[in-house]
Amino acid sequence: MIQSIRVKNFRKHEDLTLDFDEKFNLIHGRNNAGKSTLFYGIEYCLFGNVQGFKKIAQLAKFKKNAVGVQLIFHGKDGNTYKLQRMHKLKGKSKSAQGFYTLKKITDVGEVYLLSSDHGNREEDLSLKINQILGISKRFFETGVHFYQGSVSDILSGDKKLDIVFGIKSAIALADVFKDKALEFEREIKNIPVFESNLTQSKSEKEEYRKKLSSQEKQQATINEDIKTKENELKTFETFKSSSETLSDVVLQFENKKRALDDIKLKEEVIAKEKEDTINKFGMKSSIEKSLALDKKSLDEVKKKLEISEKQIEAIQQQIRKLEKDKVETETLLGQKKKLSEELDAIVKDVGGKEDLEKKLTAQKKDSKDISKKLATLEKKNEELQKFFRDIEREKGDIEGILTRREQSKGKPICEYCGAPIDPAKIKDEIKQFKAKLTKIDEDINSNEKKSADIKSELLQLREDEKAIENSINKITANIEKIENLSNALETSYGEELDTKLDGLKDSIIKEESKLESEKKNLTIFRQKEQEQLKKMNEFQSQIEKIDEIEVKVSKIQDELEDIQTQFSEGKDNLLETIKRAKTQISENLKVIKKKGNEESFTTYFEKLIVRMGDITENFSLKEIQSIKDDLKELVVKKLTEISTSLSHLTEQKDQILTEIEETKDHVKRLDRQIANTEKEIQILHKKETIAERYRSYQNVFKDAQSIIRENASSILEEKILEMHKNLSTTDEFDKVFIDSNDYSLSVTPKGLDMNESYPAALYEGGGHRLMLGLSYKFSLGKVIGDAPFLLIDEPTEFMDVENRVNLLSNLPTIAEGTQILLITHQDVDKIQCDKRIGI
Amino acid sequence: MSFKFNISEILTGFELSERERSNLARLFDYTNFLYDDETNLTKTFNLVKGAREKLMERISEMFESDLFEDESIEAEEEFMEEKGQ
Repeated sequence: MIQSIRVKNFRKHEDLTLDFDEKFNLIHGRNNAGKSTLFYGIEYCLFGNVQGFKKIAQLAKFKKNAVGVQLIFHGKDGNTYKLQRMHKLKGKSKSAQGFYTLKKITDVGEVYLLSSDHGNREEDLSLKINQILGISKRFFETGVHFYQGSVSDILSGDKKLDIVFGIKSAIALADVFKDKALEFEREIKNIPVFESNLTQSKSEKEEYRKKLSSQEKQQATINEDIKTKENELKTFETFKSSSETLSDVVLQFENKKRALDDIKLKEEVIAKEKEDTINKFGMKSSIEKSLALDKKSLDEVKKKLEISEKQIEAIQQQIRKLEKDKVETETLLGQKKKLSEELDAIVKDVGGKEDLEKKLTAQKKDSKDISKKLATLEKKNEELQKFFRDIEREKGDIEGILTRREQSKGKPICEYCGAPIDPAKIKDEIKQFKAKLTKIDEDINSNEKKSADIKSELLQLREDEKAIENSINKITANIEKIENLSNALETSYGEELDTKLDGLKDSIIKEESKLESEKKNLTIFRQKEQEQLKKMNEFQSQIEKIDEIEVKVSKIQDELEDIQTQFSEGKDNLLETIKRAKTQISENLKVIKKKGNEESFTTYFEKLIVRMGDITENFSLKEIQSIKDDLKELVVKKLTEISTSLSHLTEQKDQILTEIEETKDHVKRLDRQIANTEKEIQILHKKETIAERYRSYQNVFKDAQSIIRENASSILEEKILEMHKNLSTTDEFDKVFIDSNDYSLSVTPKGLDMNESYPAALYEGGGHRLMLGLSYKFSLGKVIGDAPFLLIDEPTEFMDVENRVNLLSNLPTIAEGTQILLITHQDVDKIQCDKRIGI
Repeated sequence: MSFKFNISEILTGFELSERERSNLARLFDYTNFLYDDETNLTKTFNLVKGAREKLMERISEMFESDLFEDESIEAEEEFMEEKGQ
């Protein structure tokens, strides 16, 4: 039962939600209002496509890029489910990508059941819808969704009903099971071949097992032989060890004997050397006496040498002193010469001391004269200056009186008493004063010239005074310098310096002559000393040579003694080693004898043991060397033999090992082969069982399709007749008949022979045909799967009002409680329903 | 009228185990699903090759799984043995 639908961007509807009653819903509206679209929406939501619409894009609202429908419905199990489906439309071609989600609505919320986002396929949803609602796509098209065209068409039959009833599926399954059974039956024909192969493989494996057992026995024998040979090898290794020890000891003894011979030879050579030396130099005591005498002479020469050296030293010291004095005197003479030259240069430049003193006296006199002149001129100058000051003051007074006189020309009065004065007198006075002023100016002019001359003369005199003063200072300095130099020459460098120098030179010559003579004496003494030393050295060397030979003699005697001791010990050691070797070989020989070695071999060793016993009685190095060589040869020969045997046995061991591995590989391969074959046989037996089962399933579906086919027609006929009686107001037919080949409907109207019938599609009257069609459709809905709801779209367009209203009002009764969604736009108000939904 | 076109009911009339009945019913539903899709059908309403193969695969999954149940383990053992050699 559908609880609600929500369509979004679906054909005409942008976003529409409708709730439905659980019984009879009447959906009405004008033409093209989008009523049928709701049914397409339900079909789209349940199955992902809509019959008659090739592309999803055809379902989408114009210019929209997505389309979606949500259904909430109750399942047969009593649960409520929400199914959401949408398609995204991409690009110009509007290719569609679909998504769906199926949830179960519970008290605590929504639970996901299936979702394309979780990887669930369309097939999963389809089977789930079939399980929840009991409808498949075919059933929906045939028995759930009615529209007028489909109602009439059904009367002529519909071959697809074979699919709707499941007949086609049953046939297909019977066919496929048959094919599968045949495939396995073909395979199981090979079971005897596999079983024969298995027997053969098992027999082959048994043969390889026997072979392996024999090879392993062979391997054990070889291993035993190798062990025996290895023990033998160990025994002869001990013989070898004894032989090697004997060889080492013999070698050591030979070395010692050789060393003893060598040292004896050396002793003889050194004794000869000693004899020759004594013959050549005499006895050591006489050489020592001569040496003592020579030493005494040498001491005397050395004393003389010492005295002479001291004498030379003293003379040399005297010479050094004289030389020093000579250098000092020569330095003083140089300094004196330099001062004299300096004095001469000054005298030549500025004159002698007396001349300078004369010049100084004259200069001092000139200086005094100039000083006097200067005093006179300065006095004159002062007087003139006083005159100027006085005359300037007088001139000022006269100019003041003149000014006042000229100002008071109109009314002249006495400036002291204020009494009027005669203007004529004033005029004369002005005249006198002017004359006086002229006189004063003339005096000033004449005295200013005088004053300038005096000033010029004063300046000249002062310069002269300064020049004379400088000259006096210079002369005084030169006189002082001359006096200083003269004093120095007189006091520091007397006349006796030259005489002293000559005396010193003579003394030096004398001392050098003495030194030369003494040096000659010294040379003579040294020669004597050398000669004496040489002689003494010769004696010393002779003594050392004699000592050296004596040391050699002593050393060689010590060495000889040591080596003789070692030789004796070596001999003992050698005899002891032979004894040990004899014992060891004797003991091992017993073991070898027990193991059954060849007679000649043991005899030879026994002989060797006897020889070893003899040699301890009569020592002979030659015999010992012979025993040692014989033993070595014998041991090496035997060891080579054993090694060769061992090598041969090892090769055999490797070979048998390889053979065993190969045999084991064969066994393993056969084991695998047997296991595989057994598995194959086991699988084939399983397949045999499955093939049998498939055959039975083939028969099940073969029978099932017969049952469905046989029952479908008769049940449908019964249901259609019953349904038609309920829908129609009249009881028209005695019988209806379904052709089981094409599902076409035939009817037998009342009053007609029961064996006669008319094809329903050709029955007269559209209303009659429509009624039959609806009966057929409703019956299908009831028979096939007990439809959970019916979608009926304008089924009664060509019916008269009475029949239409009657039929549509009766729908709930006919539907027997199944939910109905009816679309109509005729006589809406006259139809009784549970819910009216206007679009 | 007691008869409905319900395969489970029809299968009760055959000598089958419960498991077999359930499997065959599911297989029948699956075949119906294949028949529901027009693209799976020939003009004479038979299954096309691809759909038939799908059906055969489904049968193999349902009834033949025990045929090869030990095969993977054995193959692994064989491989390890060869590797060891």
